[in-house]
Amino acid sequence: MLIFSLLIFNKLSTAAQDLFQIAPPLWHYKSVFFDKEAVVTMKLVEAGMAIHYTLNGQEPTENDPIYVRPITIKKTGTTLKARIFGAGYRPSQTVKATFFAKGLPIQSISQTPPDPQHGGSGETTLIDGNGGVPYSDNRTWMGFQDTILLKIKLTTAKKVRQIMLHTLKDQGSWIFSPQQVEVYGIKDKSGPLVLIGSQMLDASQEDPFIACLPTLIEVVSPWKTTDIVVKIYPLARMPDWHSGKGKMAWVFIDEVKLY
Amino acid sequence: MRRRDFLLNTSLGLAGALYVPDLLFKNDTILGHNHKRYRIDTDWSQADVGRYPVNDCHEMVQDQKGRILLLTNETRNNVLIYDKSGKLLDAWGTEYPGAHGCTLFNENGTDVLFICDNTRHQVIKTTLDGKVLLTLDYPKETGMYTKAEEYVPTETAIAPNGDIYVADGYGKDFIIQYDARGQYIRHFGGRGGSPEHLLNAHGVCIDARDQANPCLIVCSRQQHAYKRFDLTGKYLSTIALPGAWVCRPVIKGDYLYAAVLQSHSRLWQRSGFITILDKQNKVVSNLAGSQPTYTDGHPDEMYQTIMAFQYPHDVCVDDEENLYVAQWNSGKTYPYKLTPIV
Repeated sequence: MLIFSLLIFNKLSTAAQDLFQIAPPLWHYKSVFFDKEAVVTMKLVEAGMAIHYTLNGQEPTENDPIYVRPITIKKTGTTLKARIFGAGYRPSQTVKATFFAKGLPIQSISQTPPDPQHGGSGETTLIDGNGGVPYSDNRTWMGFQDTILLKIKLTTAKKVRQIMLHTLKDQGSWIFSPQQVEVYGIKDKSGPLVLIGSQMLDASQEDPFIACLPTLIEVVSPWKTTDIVVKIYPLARMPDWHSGKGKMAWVFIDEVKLY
Repeated sequence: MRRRDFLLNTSLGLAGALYVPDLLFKNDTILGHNHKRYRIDTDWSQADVGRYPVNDCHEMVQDQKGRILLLTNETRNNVLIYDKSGKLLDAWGTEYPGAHGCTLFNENGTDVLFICDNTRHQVIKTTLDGKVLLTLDYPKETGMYTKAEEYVPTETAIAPNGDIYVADGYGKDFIIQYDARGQYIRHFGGRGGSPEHLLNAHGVCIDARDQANPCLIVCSRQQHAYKRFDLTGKYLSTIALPGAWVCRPVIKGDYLYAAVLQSHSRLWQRSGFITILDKQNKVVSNLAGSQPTYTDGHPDEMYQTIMAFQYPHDVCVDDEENLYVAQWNSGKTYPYKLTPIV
């Protein structure tokens, strides 16, 4: 009887609207990086459908609030997730974005030269507060296929407790999460580079969804400094399931923030 | 994966499933808005995939006999000919590796085809059973091209007098006008920053809905717009379609139908849909796309709402107002048929 029920279920699941999935919500925001607040607007005018969203990191369900007016985000690290339900179709994929406040004032940044085709919008690309659009051709992104060094100079000496590196994951375009990020500090102006934080990432796991990927690296024992160096290692060899297997993956970065 | 395969693969054998009443399986998803709503059938083609495969399904047309012709860049059979119920009647063509544009023209009572081949950098005029009548090479007469590779024609439109307009949609975005014998007359469009310039002139058609003033409608796909020109290439106006990567316009009756390859808001994520414009070129329905809305007379951004299509590339409207949708890069799917809700 169980098998028979499964057969019916399989049949039903391909019938009528159930054959199709709703497309993910269309939303707009200026940037996921904000000074005072970020405002997200979404659009949907289809009969019988509604956008449900969460701000607590949970997957939206039909019990979560329905989007009716622009959502204002003021707390750094807030993740907005949204998904459309209704009209008998399969619910949409969830779209998500995590928003970040300004952080410590950065005076300047220099980095390993990006690929000429993916040079962003100029030398301030990684500290200009623009980004969070998961589309690799967008000029907010700098693309690299090499070990990357970011040299960051703060306006005044500050205790840096946390570094946020904002990258893109678009595996179909050979863009993976980095496999390792290291953070170095300099105690005196002439002093040596000291490793003050690092993080390994599971870069080779297959994920068909294109998304922004914020990585937070904690500093072990913070001290006041004006200089921070971040070293980013791309995935050295793309995994066997990927069409570019064995080759080095790309890393795309649109922003780095210090807290 | 096609739905038919999906059923076979998931139901562990069909014997048990036969007990389920048929009406439960009915594929009655209805797409569209206002008075242009359709029931979609994703299983229209009855072609045997082993014998008559497709690659990208680029364009479709209906001939005088009512048959539906599909052009694909699968060189085992570049042209598949169906009846309206999806039964395969005939197949031909092995010489068109870049088969892309397919336009049918009634030439003094006889149907002929114009095939644009991206790979051969040529336009080929054929009979409906594949005999070559005329070949147009790259248009060096324009003075704009130094070699064939710069010319990647995507579409043709044929005027009532037989003049041939070729859209170089993947090349330099010029529209090149020839007479019926293939003699160069003029060219226009091309890239630039003015309204008459084009970016991805992917399709072109003759719009004779206003019989006194027939005009050309040309895609400027990466500008999310159509641009109207008179038959001598003089720019007339732009039809903005924000968010929509519009493929060739197809005129039937008072309406303009077009496949939208993808939504600008979700690039390269299978975000296509079908759009329908009325005689005033106002969007009245989007099949699997957003409800058409206007702000101060300007259309709002359009986008996919239902993932019914992946990358639709052309719409054919038959003599009974049914639609057939051919898709590019969509898992070698055969065309879908959509039947109007009356």
